[in-house]
Amino acid sequence: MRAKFEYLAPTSLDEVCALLQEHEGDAKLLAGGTALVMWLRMGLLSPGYVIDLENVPGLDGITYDPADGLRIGAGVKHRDLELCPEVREHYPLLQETFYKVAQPRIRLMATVGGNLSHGDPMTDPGASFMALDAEVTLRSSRGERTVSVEDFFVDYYETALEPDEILTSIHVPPPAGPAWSHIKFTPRSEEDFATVGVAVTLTGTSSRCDDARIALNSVGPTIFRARAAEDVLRGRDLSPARIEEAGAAAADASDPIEDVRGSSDYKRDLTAVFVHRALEQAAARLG
Amino acid sequence: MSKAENFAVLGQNVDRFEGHDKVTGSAAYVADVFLPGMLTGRILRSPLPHARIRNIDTSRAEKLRGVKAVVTAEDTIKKGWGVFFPDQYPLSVGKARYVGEEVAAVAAIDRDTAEEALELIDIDWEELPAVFDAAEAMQPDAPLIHEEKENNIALTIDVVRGDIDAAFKDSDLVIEDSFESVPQWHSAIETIGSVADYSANGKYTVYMNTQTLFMARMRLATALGVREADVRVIQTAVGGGFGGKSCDDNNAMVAAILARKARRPVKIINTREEEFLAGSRPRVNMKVWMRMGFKKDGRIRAKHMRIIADNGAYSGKAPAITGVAALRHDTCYKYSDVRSEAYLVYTNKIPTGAFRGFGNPSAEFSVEQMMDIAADELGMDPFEMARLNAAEEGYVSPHGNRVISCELRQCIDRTERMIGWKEKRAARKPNRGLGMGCTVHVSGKRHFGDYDGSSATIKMNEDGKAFILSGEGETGQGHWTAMCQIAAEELGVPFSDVAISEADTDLTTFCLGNYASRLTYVAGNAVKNAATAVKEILHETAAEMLECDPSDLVSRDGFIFVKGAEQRSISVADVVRGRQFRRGGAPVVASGSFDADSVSQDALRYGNESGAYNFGCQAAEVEVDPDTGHVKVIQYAVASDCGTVIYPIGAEGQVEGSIAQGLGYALIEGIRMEEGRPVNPNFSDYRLASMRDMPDLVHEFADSYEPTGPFGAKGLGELGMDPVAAIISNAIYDAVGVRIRTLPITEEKVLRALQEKKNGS
Ligand SMILES: Cc1cc2nc3c(=O)[nH]c(=O)nc-3n(C[C@H](O)[C@H](O)[C@H](O)COP(=O)(O)OP(=O)(O)OC[C@H]3O[C@@H](n4cnc5c(N)ncnc54)[C@H](O)[C@@H]3O)c2cc1C
Repeated sequence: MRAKFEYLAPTSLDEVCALLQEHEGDAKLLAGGTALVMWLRMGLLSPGYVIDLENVPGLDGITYDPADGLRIGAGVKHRDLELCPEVREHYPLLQETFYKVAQPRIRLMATVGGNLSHGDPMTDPGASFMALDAEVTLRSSRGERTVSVEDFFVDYYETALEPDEILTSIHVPPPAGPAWSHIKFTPRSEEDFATVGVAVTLTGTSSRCDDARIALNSVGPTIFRARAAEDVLRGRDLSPARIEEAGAAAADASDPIEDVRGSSDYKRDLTAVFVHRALEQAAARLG
Repeated sequence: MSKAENFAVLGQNVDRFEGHDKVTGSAAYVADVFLPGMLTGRILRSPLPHARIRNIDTSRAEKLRGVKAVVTAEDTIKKGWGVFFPDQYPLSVGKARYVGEEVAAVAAIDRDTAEEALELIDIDWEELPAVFDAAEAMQPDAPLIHEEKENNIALTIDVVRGDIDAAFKDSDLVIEDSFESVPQWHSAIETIGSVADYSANGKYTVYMNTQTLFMARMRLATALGVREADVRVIQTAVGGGFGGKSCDDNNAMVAAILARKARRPVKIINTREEEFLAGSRPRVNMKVWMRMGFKKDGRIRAKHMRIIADNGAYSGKAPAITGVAALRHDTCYKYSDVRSEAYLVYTNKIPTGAFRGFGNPSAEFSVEQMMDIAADELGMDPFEMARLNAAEEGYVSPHGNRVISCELRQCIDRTERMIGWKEKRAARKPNRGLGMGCTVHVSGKRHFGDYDGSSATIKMNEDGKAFILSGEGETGQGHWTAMCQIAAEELGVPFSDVAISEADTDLTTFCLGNYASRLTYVAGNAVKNAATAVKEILHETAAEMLECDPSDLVSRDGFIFVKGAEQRSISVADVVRGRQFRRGGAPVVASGSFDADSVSQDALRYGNESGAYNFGCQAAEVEVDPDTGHVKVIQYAVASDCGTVIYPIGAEGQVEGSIAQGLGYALIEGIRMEEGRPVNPNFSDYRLASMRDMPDLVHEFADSYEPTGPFGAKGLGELGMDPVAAIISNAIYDAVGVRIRTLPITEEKVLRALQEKKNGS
């Protein structure tokens, strides 16, 4: 049977928060709808209320400031982020990541906030936001708080969002350096979800890595940072042996499930391969 | 070689006949059909792969407000239907044999009510042991799916031609191998649907997105227990067929049964999930064992093939498909000593059936790899070996297929050049490889009664425009356009002066529909014959009006001229008016028909199955990532021999679509089942190759002319699909030295094979 729910169309953030509080646990926010509608159709969700964000001001806009970094409204569409000149110039990792999400039809509908809030470990942007040390702002009638993207992903389809909270914006600190890499392995079709996704940022020089951030999607119950792999590199050189070691450490930290894209062993093997490749690419950008 | 003909309309990219309707969204698909008082039908499907029905209680569902009819087998004649074996019922009789089988159905005022009613139907099931693998189902202790079918075997084929033992003895090289294919799903963008109406005088009218109009009517009549003319089938616009809409499923049957009980029109459109469970019948998956013998010089000497084909729970077209897999490919290369064994075996899964290629893809996946393996062992260039063995004009296959036109060698030469075989082989790059293969297909196949024909009627309007009445129907491939071109060419009128009817069993004459790459050839001949007959009538009247002999007349551009005195001319419109608006006037109308010069295979499966054979050669260049196993297809080359090309853009579309589906079959597709339930029944898990995944595709049509075809044309629609998987496998082997024998060739299989190879050496 098809889902039946009451459709609500608030016109302010305060109103959204009030409705979330009133129907706590029984309401779902509707942004682009690309994930939510599918889940409703498949009967995976049956909320009593669906709260449409279409008419809510204050969720759009991308602003860049060299001192503050990038602020992205939760309602910004993937496509708008991908095409934003400041993003292209200062955050090429984000531009590339968003370009690789699905295809334009989806990117024109799907929002950045919807993508993160869905908590799907197979989505791409979360890893890149993590590699850039981004944080999200969550708001409720109780107030506002910020959470790092790393802590935002709690478990399989579970985020730090409380039932009465809405994600309002994402903040990315000023870019620390030019060394980054993103790999999305989609052997079945370029339009597929990643079999393995890797986002990497590096600072330092090729003889000494000051800092490394390695984040992975599609190879665990959440998108996660491979901290053990980062530790292999931090303060050390970026020799082939070191990079290989980091790849192996990332694979150790992964916990992929078997699905149509491959067995868990295969995906673990690939994690080592692609972390290795991503580090090589990023290291080459360090110069 | 092509007969130099100066065509006025053929070979031109005219405006597609129904193109404007489709791009503006006004084409009416089955979802767009609304009849007054129409209800929504929903189907209750078996949740179990094999189970006896102890009792069905529909009383609670019947009482639900808004429900107008609830039906079970008790509302049917409980007579089996099916094109070759009448083994399936519109609604389960006694037991269900696969997950998704239609058990009961409801018609209600809206979808929510109908679905609520389904939940109120109580079924007392007794679960039975089930079997899901065809080879296991043949074992003596396997549960029987149809009690009367011993060892679950639906069909056995075992034919021997020549002296197979002597031929193997006489071979210098004998190789043996096994291959396995998977059920591929059509994935048409529109699911199967129908709207059925039942009138007080006992006649059913069914709007369907079928690709085989009159066959649908025959099957409906059987399942409903009425005469053919008591059922009128009207084809709506069809959003993709590929064999999946050739009416082997129960959607329309159930709609008709509900409509009769409710006395109101009923619409049933499969949801995407239902389409995966019990809609279009996926490709028959096969396990193929092969042994082939070769002479040192590369000639094929002997071939022995043994197939175990998975029928699923009911037969549909799988019996014919199994026959094609066993025998067809022997038309591609020349040899005379063959043994073909095949077993078609019931399992508790969705029935398999017709899909572009019709058994040939499983066969070519096997044979074209055997050819590659042999070439490798003999140290021969695969193109040389193909040229040496290639069929040619006048070849008669060991099973009696008679080849008239054949440009296979030309295709081989063109493909070798297009892919840059020699140059690339001379300058090899690491992890890059090349593979090739050949293919053969039919232009129609005689297997439904002793008929492989078509008929059409053309009537002229007073304004000089011709109207074709044809029941073959458009399935999205551009058939209507090609027929209008053929009629325009023969009548000597502009393309824009020809239109074609929708397919409607009450208004058009008998024909078989869209399968077996048959329409351009078979229906094209019928339309051409109708046009010839109409032209004769026109010339007869024109001769009276121009005061000359009919044999002195020619038609061109909508005018009829006296040969040699072209100023003496009259428009077709004036001729039609002249004939109709006069004392004793009569319409200008004529029918044409055509039946291919093929025969029904005899009891030993000998006989020329088709009027004409189309041939092709293809090659691929791939790059394999040795660390991940990922196969990237860099370039793909195709040469096709389909005789005269009538509608170039349509023909190219067939080639491109075939390769896209072939690459999907080779590398990514396949329904995966666990305990008879699909685990990937959606487009996120069941992935298709998208536009962005297509390699650089280069393509040429052979210079070719089929004497028995309309203006030299023959079939094309399936040819391209058949060899793709083998060619990709051959190219992977060439690149990295591992051969994958089971479909799909996933990156994981390639990586593991590479690791095994490394560890082994
Ligand atoms: C065909 C297809 C292909 C795809 N391929 C990819 C891919 O390659 N890579 C990838 O990363 N993703 C992919 N996706 C997933 C896609 O990115 C998500 O569907 C999309 O980002 C969700 O955004 P939305 O705005 O449509 O969210 P919605 O569907 O509207 O919402 C998603 C969830 O987030 C909640 N939500 C929405 N906004 C907020 C908010 N502001 N605060 C709190 N909760 C909120 C909703 O309640 C819901 O639970 C694909 C999706 C489809 C349909």
